[in-house]
Amino acid sequence: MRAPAIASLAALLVSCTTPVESGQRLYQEGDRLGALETWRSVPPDSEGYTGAQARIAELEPEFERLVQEYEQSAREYEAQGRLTEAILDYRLVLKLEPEDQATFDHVQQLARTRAAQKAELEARYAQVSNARDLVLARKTLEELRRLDPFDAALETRSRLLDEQLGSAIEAKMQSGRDAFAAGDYPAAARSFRAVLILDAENEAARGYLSYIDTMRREREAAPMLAAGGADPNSSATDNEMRAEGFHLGALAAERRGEPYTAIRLEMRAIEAVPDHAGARQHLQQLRRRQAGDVDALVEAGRIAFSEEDLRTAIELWDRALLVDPDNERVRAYVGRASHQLENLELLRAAPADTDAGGGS
Amino acid sequence: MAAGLLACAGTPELRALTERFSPGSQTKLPELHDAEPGLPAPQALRASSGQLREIPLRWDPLLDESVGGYVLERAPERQGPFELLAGLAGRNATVYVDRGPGSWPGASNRGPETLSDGQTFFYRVRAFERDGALGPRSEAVAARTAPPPDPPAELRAWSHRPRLVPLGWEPATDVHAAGYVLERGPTPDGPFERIANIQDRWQTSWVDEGLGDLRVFFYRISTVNGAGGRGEPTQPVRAVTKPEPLPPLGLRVVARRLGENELGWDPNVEQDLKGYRLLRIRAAASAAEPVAELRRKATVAVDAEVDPGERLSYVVVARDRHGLESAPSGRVEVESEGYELSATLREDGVHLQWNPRVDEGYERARILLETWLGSRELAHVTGSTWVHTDVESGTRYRYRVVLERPDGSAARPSRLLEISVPNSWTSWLPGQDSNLRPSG
Repeated sequence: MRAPAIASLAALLVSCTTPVESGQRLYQEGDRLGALETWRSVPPDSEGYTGAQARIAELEPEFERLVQEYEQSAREYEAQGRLTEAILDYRLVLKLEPEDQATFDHVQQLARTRAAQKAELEARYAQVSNARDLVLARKTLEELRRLDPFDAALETRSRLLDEQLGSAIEAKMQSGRDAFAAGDYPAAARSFRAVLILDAENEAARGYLSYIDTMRREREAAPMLAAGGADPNSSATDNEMRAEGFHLGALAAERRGEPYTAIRLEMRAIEAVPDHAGARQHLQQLRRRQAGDVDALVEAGRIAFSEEDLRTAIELWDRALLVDPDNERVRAYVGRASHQLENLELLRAAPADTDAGGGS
Repeated sequence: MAAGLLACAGTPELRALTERFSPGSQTKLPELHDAEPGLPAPQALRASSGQLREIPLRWDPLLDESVGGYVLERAPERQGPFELLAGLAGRNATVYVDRGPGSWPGASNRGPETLSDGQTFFYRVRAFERDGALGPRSEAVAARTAPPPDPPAELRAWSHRPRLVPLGWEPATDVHAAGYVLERGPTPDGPFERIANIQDRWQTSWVDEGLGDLRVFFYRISTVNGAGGRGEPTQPVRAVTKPEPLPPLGLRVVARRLGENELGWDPNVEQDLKGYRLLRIRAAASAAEPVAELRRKATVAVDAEVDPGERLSYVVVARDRHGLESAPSGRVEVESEGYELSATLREDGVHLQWNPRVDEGYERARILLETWLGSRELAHVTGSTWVHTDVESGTRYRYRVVLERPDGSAARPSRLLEISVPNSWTSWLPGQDSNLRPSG
């Protein structure tokens, strides 16, 4: 018999609590196994036997369900390389089934794998930080946080790095804007390209680059314009720049063979500038081209849903909605699956790791 | 019903009302009675919603100098039934705050003790003349007390903390919020039990302490208003306390020496590991005894308190810097090294032989004879044998050997070796040669 059960039985004797109450206290304190063992240890001729048996009958299915959920969640995390979270869920399995040697061995092996990966990433992070390679440092930090989201030190590091990156990007953006306003387009282009090295998704930098490129092409086509004073494009709004950046990103995504990313980016371009003709036209083309995939996406989502892979199901249906945004049936599927997923997410804690004040 | 009550002059209720001083006034009400309309209905009756368990009412005063005061009526529905709420003496007494019970004698059974949260009432007012003649009623107006406060937003619970869960949330936006009730349950569906009553709207964090290792909890919080009314709780949020370290792996016997067992194990990989504790379980004991406390880098320990030839087992546990301790490792059984002491009876006496363990640093041996008077040293010798020549037939002898190092430190004594010299023993007899080993 486990120690909690012994302790609870001892407490039972001295405090006159009934076995059901004693087990219930353990249950409330999150010790399901202790509760179950306390109730199981009540002898049949005892007064509390019937009550204990009733609680056992209630708890055993819950026990079984939790083991399955923790196992499934652990496997998903493991497949995603989120080893700390996987280990935590496997350990919750072990908490309920301490004799599960296979899981125990797997946890020990995973813990060692995680430690080795973490050591390697830490070393790489130190190296790239010393070299002031902010882009690689961010990538490495992302990998570290994926591996161990509970490591509070990573959060602090991440904030510092974000600040450094933000400052570097803003400095280069400002330099680009200044050069752009002064008509020094080659210098502006260099600055905006430097921004894209730090933040490949920076749509404002992309937008500026697109305008600069457009102006260059127009000048080449009509050299007379070059002497014509201020360029009207240089007064484009930030939103227009961003829309252009999204549009360019969409074109690039399409070239990479990522039509759904392209659709998302065109939608953002239209959100920024609703009458962006290029974005609208491209979005229509993309949707027409992908229209044939909708049924297959819906069906694939249904299969994933039936296999309780809710995330995949939602992702597939979301893609279908990107192509066919008015499809009410798919919208309802997504709503239902999202609701179920939310319920499942209740079983997982937010991975942030920040101290809160207060006291008890 | 109230209309009925007021339908005729001099009803008991009206008489009771007239016997009461109106709120905030020492003026006694006249005897009220319904009469032909002489006064107009009061205008602009207003009732303020959203107040904490009270509904302030006000109306424009009637300027007619014959006005002696006002009577307020209250109903849970627009259609009634309206009941008397209060009588106010004075033409300018045009304010009343409904906090629940009616303000007339004997009417406490008609109104609630207090208003509750989110409760709606309808009100009418009518004036009466100085002689008690009641005028017509105003239009009914409705008002609602402040609803139960909404739960605070963004309840968060931080996982992976040692035996505690820090919680945080945004302050409640309800102006009547006065604090919070925090609850904890083992599942998202409960059962939830209250873990904190926080009586400050701006205290938006709490630490749930004293929890077990690797426990899953669900928390929810509700806002409490200044009157103690509690709103709906938030959706539960989940938190898991920090797990204890994993049990160490690969516990094994690294070396055995006389009186010493050396054990080793594979290092744990937890980053916040503080160290290990090696525990010994002797054959006859049920409880484990601590052997050594080690820092995280040390994965080898020596148990120097073992008897020669003793059977015992070991486990090791890991501890992190928060004091969380792992489950014990797998158990390792060991039989410690012994003296390999033996005795042989020959014609010249009892020949004792042992392993001198020179390679373990031992140099000499004390030969002890145990008698009922105690222990007596027979010899202090080098080498691995000694002959006890001074033995007598028909006597039982019990020997121990203790090995010593050059610095005088000694190993634990050997176990007792017992040998009986037969009555017939006088000299060497073929076939009587006995090769004895320690008993027990």
